[in-house]
Amino acid sequence: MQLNKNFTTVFIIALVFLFEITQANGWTQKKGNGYIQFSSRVTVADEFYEPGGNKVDITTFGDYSFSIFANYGLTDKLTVFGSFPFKRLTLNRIEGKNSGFEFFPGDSKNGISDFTVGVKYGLGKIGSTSFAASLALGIPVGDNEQPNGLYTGDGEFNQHISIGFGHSFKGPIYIAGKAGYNFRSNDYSDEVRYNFEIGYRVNKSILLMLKADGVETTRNGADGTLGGTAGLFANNQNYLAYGPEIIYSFSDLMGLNLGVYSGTRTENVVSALSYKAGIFYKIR
Amino acid sequence: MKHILSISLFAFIFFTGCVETDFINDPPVEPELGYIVIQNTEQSLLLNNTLQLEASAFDASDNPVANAVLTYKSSNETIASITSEGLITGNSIGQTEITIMADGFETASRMISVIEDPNQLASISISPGSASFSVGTQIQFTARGLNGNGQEISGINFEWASTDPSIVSINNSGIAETIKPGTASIYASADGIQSDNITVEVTGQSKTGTFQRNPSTSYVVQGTATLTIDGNDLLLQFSDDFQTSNGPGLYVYLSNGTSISAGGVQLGRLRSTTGSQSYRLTGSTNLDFTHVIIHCLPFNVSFGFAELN
Repeated sequence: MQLNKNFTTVFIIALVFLFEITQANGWTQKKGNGYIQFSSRVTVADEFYEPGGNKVDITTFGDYSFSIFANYGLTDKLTVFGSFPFKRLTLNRIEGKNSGFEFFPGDSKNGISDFTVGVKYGLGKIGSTSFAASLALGIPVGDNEQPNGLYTGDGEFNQHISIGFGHSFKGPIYIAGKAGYNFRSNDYSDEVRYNFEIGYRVNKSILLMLKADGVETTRNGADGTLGGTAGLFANNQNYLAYGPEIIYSFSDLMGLNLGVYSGTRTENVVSALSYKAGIFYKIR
Repeated sequence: MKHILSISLFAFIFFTGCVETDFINDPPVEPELGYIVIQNTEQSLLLNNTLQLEASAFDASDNPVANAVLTYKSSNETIASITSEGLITGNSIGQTEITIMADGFETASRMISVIEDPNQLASISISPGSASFSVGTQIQFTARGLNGNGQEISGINFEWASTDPSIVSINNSGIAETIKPGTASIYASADGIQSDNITVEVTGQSKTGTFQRNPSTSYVVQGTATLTIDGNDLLLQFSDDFQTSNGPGLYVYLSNGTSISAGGVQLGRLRSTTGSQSYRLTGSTNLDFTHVIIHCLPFNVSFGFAELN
């Protein structure tokens, strides 16, 4: 029994630790607590789901992101958060196999991507399920005019409102999710965004998660709008990305997370696995 | 310090992306043909005499090719036969066509007459030479009759003919008219002697096509494109109702297929996704292009094309 109690305590700590870095949940930070994460994400694709959902070959496109994410509890109910990504985008050169003719010289772009800042407010609990509402604002500091489509930003100020929940079961399992609506400006279509995850604690140091992250466009923008942090056509995107993620805690204050993601229901997105690795620190 | 190293490691991944090379299938490069030049000015020989034909081969860059293996052929060996070294022997009175061939070279030919009297009509030369003209052009051809000594004979009535009058017609005065795109040969004849053929390539004045989307995608491209010879240039014009989906790095190409790798020529960046616009290919009047393509160059995706007819 003592063992079970200890295990439950560890699991709850782990869940809080975990939820801090997912944002897809109904928990907020305690006052004065927070965390900061440094992560890289790599996607290299030579296929693309065009707007009709057909997969077409494209020039090999690389999206290398380095991101700083942080949140902090101003009060027990109010948490502020921000994400500050930097991108390196690449396009291979294109050469004729037989002629040796260079059709395209290749290109790359390094730059700041659009920032996100926001607040999360704890709505309370129903049973053991916590709820929170969030408002995230997209700050368009990236470049959406790169001539070869290597956009690090979408040039629009978006407002994403959402409600999330988090529920821990008896035992080492939790579920969490979030659904919201992303209002977009500058002729971009609005989006319904949702995500869901289920987590399982293997031991004191290791957590396994399965994550799903979906976007459905409302198609109320202009079809010709270009730009966006997807590096290609970021308007009227549909996708459901999913994949496993693992968190390894070195200590109570520091950990490592690794993940790989695939996608389905895809329109206007590249077709490739996306790899993520990050290191995070708790603020106490 | 340990934390700084850890963060630096993740930041390092950010810089690992390199620009490499993608290869696309394009048609095999056919070596450009060289050409053969017949150096003799003589176009006749006396019966039972011989004439050494002198020919040289040049590559497409006009450099002499000393080791080209030339083969010779006579269209009528009872009139004149030719050896593998190019020595012609006049066997009987008449005219035959001597052809010189070599792998990798355009074939050369010459009409050779075998005559008894050096003062008789031995050859006919016509001008202008082989050339390209657009549909609806009138060309005045003239002919000169020469005897076996290369002297002009006056007062000859020449008959003119076209190998394909539906492409190029010609009247008894030597006035030719280009009728429709294609290739035909013009020649003159008199007293059983025929001139060398003059090749006339007839090009259209314009071609038009209706845009359609790339069947592999759902991008919209519509409207019409018209390709016209404009002086020494080609002018491509899109109709008022032209419209295409937007995309990064959209370019306009002329090509010989639905892909830019099929001999495509880039005309420039698409100026607008809607409405009338024009593009110029300077220094070319080649209307052989079969397609106009709207192509997203950076990502190598064709949005749509118009087949020109």
